[in-house]
Amino acid sequence: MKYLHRDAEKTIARYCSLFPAVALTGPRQSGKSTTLKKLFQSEYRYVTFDDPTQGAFFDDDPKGFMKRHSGRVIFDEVQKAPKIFDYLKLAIDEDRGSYGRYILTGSSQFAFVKGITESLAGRIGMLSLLPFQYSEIPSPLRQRQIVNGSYPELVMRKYEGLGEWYSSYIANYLERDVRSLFNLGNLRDFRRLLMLLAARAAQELNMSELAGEVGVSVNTIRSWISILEASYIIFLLPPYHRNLGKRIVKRPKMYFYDTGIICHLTGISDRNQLDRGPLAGPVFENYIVSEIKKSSSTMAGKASSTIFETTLALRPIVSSRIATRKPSTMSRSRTPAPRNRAWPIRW
Amino acid sequence: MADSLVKLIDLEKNEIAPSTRSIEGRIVYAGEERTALSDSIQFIDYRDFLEQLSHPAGT
Repeated sequence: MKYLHRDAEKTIARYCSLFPAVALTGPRQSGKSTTLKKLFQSEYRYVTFDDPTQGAFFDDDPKGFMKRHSGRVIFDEVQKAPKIFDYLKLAIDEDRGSYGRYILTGSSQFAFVKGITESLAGRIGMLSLLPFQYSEIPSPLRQRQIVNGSYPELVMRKYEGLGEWYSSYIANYLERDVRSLFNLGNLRDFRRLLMLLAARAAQELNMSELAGEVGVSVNTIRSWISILEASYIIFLLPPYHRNLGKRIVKRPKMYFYDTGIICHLTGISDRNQLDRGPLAGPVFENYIVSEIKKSSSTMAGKASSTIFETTLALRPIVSSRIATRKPSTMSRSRTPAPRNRAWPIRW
Repeated sequence: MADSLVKLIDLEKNEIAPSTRSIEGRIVYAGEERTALSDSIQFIDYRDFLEQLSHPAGT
């Protein structure tokens, strides 16, 4: 299959020259394994914990496993072998001068954050690879991105079998990630929450209201929102207030990483249907914000000098064209947002 | 400090029907004081904007 180059490639390569280990996270099917294989196939051994024999080998004999894979290795789906972080720490500390020795991937931030906090702090560089950005998609398909999404496999097959793909993606996500990794029993209510969130994309997150509609406690909703965040389905954007305390206390806005998921869950199948319906504005806002989010993850190492020159994100991007300053919010309405209710675009 | 308002639009649609519907979204550039929103509204096609996200000027 033809490979479409990613903007993140240079950043990944640079991180490999800066850290003993590099972690590449991102949603399921965002192209992590494909990109790494393409970039490093000749230099690295590829080991995936999707392969039960590798998982069993590590569980039975972790030292033997690490000895077998003592060179440059890509460990895929490491969230399935969380104990590996301790052994990676030992291996890295034995040879701190070796950079880019290990590349780890996974689709859950939880496993990484826990493993890194406990074992690999200071030894690993973290990057995210999100679905395709606008400019990574072939030109003829770009106009379909807002409704049909940005997942590489879908783009490669020119969005053929779109509905089936998303149905399968969400089912896999619920069964393999949510149920197995987070040990969540009530998938029916979790799925209902996901659908409610899709209908509320780019709106303030009201957990009390969601708890009432799903029929679970507010704490349960809070926990499920964390799962959706950690597994790269949604992200939250805090409101902008001049008062820093208010920024933390006030409700954030909620966005999906991929507008294709929103459209699939809300039954929107084409652009005309989207434009005629009530979700046109929110989905468009989500689309733009998620593209900025993707861009920020790609430019991770350059954050301070390019996109994120300040905490206000877009200035360097747009200033050369439109001579303006200090971006803050985005919405569909012509009416300016009331004072102090603006959402900063910054990560 | 005056604010600026940038509206992301679909230029193709705007040429056909310059209505509210054609305005696809906007980015509000909030300064220290939100005092003069209307004095600096500018338009940019969202496709140009997305293209520049990947290839910011000067990088």
